[in-house]
Amino acid sequence: MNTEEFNPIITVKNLQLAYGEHLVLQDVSFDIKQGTCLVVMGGSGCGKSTLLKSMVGLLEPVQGGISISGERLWDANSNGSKIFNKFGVLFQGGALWSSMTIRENVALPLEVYTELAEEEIEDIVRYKLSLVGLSGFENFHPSQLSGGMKKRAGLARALALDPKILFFDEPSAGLDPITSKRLDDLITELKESLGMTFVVISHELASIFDIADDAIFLDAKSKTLLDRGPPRTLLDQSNHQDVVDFLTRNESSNN
Amino acid sequence: MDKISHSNGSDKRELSIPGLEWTKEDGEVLISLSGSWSLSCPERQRVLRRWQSLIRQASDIEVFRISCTEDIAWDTSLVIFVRNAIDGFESEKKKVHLGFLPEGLKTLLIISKERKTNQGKTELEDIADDLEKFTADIPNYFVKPIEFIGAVIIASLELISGKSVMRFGDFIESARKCGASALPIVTLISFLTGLTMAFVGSVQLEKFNAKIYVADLVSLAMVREMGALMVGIIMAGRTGASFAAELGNMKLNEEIDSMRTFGISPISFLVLPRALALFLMTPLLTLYADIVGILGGLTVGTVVMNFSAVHYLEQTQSALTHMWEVYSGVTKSLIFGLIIGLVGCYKGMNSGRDSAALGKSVTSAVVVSITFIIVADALFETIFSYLELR
Repeated sequence: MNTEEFNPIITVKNLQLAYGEHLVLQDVSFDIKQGTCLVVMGGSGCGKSTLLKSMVGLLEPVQGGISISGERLWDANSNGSKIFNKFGVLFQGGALWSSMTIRENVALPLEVYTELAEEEIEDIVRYKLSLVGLSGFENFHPSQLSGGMKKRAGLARALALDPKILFFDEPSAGLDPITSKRLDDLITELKESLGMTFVVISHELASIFDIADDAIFLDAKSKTLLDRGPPRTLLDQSNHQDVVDFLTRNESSNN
Repeated sequence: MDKISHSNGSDKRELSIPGLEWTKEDGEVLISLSGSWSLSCPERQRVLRRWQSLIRQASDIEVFRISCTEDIAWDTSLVIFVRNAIDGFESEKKKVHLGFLPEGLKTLLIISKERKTNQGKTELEDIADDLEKFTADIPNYFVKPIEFIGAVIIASLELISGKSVMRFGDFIESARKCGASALPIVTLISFLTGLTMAFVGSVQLEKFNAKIYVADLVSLAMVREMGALMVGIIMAGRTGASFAAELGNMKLNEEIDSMRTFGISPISFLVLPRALALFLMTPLLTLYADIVGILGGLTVGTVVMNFSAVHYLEQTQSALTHMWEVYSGVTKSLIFGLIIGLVGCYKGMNSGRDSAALGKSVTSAVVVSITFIIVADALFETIFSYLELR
């Protein structure tokens, strides 16, 4: 075990999030160890996506802070772009840039942040696309791809700059069980082979037990973090009935 | 005993229409439902009207018993009917006893019981809510556009200092879309504008026997006013709307969010090439529209009014000797282009996240830019007039 594992790569402290006057989350604190996969769970409307938005720099917290690799997000003095190439984000629908081909989508971050020659970028794009099983689709436009392919192309784009952290909004939403399982396997592979850290929003039970090293449970009523721990431990030992309900009710229906 | 039966036809007929029997007995009312309760049955309205009048007459009754016959055929219409009946009785503090009901109906009645709790806002409260929302939004009408303009200025400075992520190819593509592709429509509209002005002018000028001044009228009006204005309006409807729709749709698909998470500024990458292209293309299109408009006037001058082309063009030339008229038109068009580009992009970037909101943004992009263009035009003319630039 190396020492790095004990240093959290992401720290969230006393976070309070709101849309205008509508409070979404308050008093949320947790940290994430490098090379692990943290799943954010909770029922609909509990603020999972809002938390993610704030962690990737799209929503300024009312209070509290987020540090990624020791650099504070939302700090007036911090140089935004330095943080930005440390993480990749995969949105629910892939959020590919529709006016560009798949190749251009994956290549753009490389063009913006690196001084690589065109051929080199081309190689990287091909490699990233083969990683997600999309070789040969370089010249397709996003509208020509299926939902699952869009997600995988979005993953290739998120991986373009070799980020240390990947944020993932509902990988299994709208996918058939087999495609979603493949995506889960890919997450585990990337985590183990590249030592990447994952933050995944999910409410798909099967997927949570598959990929999560650790999980946090957000609650819509109290608007805060209810419990945290590995999902199996939570299932056996959580003091919160809501958490157990969430984990068992679905599991019993899965079996 | 007072028995009122609604369905009094033959047995066969009773099965295909809703049946409602109202029996008054010992201060209680027995309501028996039968037949076929279907949303598609037109007879239902008659039963409901009958029901209303029965209810009105039964204000002194304290206990109601509702039951169905076993062979009743039903759908949502019966659920809603029974639910409303129970709620109505209970709100008047009357007792309701349920007799035989089909199993499914019982379940649906229990589920639909929760439906009422979420309601209860009057129209007035709705209006008050809207008003509150509107007043709370007022600062946004000023703050957000100023923030946007600031961001565009910063992005432009980055472009000048060579640090921008804007791609030259995107700029060229935008310039082609809003410039070259607009040529046919600009040609048609400015030619017809010149033509119309020549016709209208010739009728008036003929009275003073000064028909040749049609050339002055058309050329001056075209270069000073109509060229820039017509191009502005075409661009607002054509390009401004498309900017708003493109960017709004990107926002809808989280494309703009994903761009931000890569640290790529959507202002530099999406807004700047579009706004810049329109800013530079509008004056060029205006010059082109001026020429085509003058050609429209020339057509009327030669074909209808029988001047020679040389004579007409010489007259035009003498009208435009100072060239100030042309410059003022082009100056205006620069500002018009800026207005349309910024308004279109702003509306797109700030569109809501559903397709109805997107439609609203596009409409508002066109309306706001045309309004601003007309206002700016009036301002220009006022300023020119005070400075005696004419």
